[in-house]
Amino acid sequence: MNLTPPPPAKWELTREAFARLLAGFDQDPERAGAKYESVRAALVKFFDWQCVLFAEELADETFNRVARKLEGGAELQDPATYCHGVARMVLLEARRQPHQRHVELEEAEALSVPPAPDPVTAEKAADEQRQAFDRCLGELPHESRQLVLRYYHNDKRQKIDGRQALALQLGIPLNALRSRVQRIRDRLEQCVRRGLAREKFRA
Amino acid sequence: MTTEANNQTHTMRHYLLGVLPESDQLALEQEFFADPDRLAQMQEVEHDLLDEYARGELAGEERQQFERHYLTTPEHRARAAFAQELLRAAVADAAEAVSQPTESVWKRFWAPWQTLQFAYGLALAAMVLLAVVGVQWLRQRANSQQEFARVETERRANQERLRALEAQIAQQRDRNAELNTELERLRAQQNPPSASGSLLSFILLSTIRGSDQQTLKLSANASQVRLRMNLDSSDVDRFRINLRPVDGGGVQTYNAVRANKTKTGTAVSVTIPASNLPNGDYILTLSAVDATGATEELDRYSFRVARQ
Repeated sequence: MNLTPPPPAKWELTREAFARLLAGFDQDPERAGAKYESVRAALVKFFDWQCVLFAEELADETFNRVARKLEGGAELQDPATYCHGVARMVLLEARRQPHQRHVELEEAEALSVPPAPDPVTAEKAADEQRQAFDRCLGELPHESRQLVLRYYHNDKRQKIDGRQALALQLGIPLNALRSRVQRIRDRLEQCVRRGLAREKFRA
Repeated sequence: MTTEANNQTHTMRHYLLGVLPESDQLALEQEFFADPDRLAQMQEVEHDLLDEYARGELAGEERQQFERHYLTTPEHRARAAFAQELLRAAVADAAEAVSQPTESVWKRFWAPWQTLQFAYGLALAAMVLLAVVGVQWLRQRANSQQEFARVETERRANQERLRALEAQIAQQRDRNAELNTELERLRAQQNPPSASGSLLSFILLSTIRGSDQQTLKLSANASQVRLRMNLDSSDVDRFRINLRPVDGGGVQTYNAVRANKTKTGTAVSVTIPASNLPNGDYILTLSAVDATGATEELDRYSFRVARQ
């Protein structure tokens, strides 16, 4: 499986081009920065949810193209919508790359049955995953740890009631609870990922 | 949860499972590009999907869609493995909480009444109460242990499935890379489109099947543009075409487009006034329309219009 990122485009984003890009989002630098971050987050998730590899790189490629357009004298009426349109084009191009081909399960099943994964290696990988998770969970502050565990404890039927009760107990609205838990979950996930990458590097 | 919120969640789930119609996809994407709260909501729905999969609560078609679409990237499979660990820890934590007796509460309750005159009466009452609480505790503990065992079994089964998927996908990617090389070779043999006269004909090549973006050069006297798409075969006789400028302008929709049989298959054509195609990049989506009016996307084409 080819997991090397796509070759970089010839055009490089310069400091001036980036400043122009930010100004395209808003004349006020602070608001422009916030809008840029918000659109970047949407771009990364857009590529990620479209199941293509290297979502971050594709988000950057999208911004590069928008910056190029601005360099050519274009003006953005609605930067978020414009970036979305360019991202769709980048997505179409990315899907044509061999390493980005989307594989349907039935296609894969039509092929010969692959050899079963080595149970020793698989078990080792599962152990590493568990150890990394437990270590990262242990590194969280006690309140954060309890909050994330309690938030995700309930099953489908009890989930809504359980989360509302938790929000009530903490004296915060449900939306605020959601955001708080999402941040903790993201932090935990990043920590596990870094831990596993370190393990892989050592091996 | 309100009906509207339910509908939104339903739409977002379909998006993540890759089964949302393209027009709805575009609308949803525009929303989460414009509104960070909507993006956060989408992430919440994604986490719920992952957690339901880890618990074994995703069933039937939804489970298949999840595995066939969402789990096709290593990133997403890592997220699924993370969700399983999170669930294991949450269930273990809950089981542990149930198994720890709340001693300090009893001590606090008992302290003011620790005098001889109440001792015998209270001891009897306490025994009865302890018996009731004990039975309840044993019942809860048994439930938690059962739940833990069920989740653990499901987690192991999911891990096995994920590993098998990884192996299948790696093999298929290698095969796709070979096919893509072959496709590139065949494409190089095709002639580039040409343009002249007031009616300009243009054969579009499928982007999904790997064609590069084509450039449509419009001469000054072109008043109409005919776009033609060749299909291998089709039982459908009615099509819809959506033509969307990449820079976010309005979508042009052509309904009730008919197909013509050709020697090699089926061809779908649409004639558009040249004035409707200013310079820029476009994505054309071809969908089949069935008797009930439902649409199914068949192919996509990407091209650039450049006036000479």
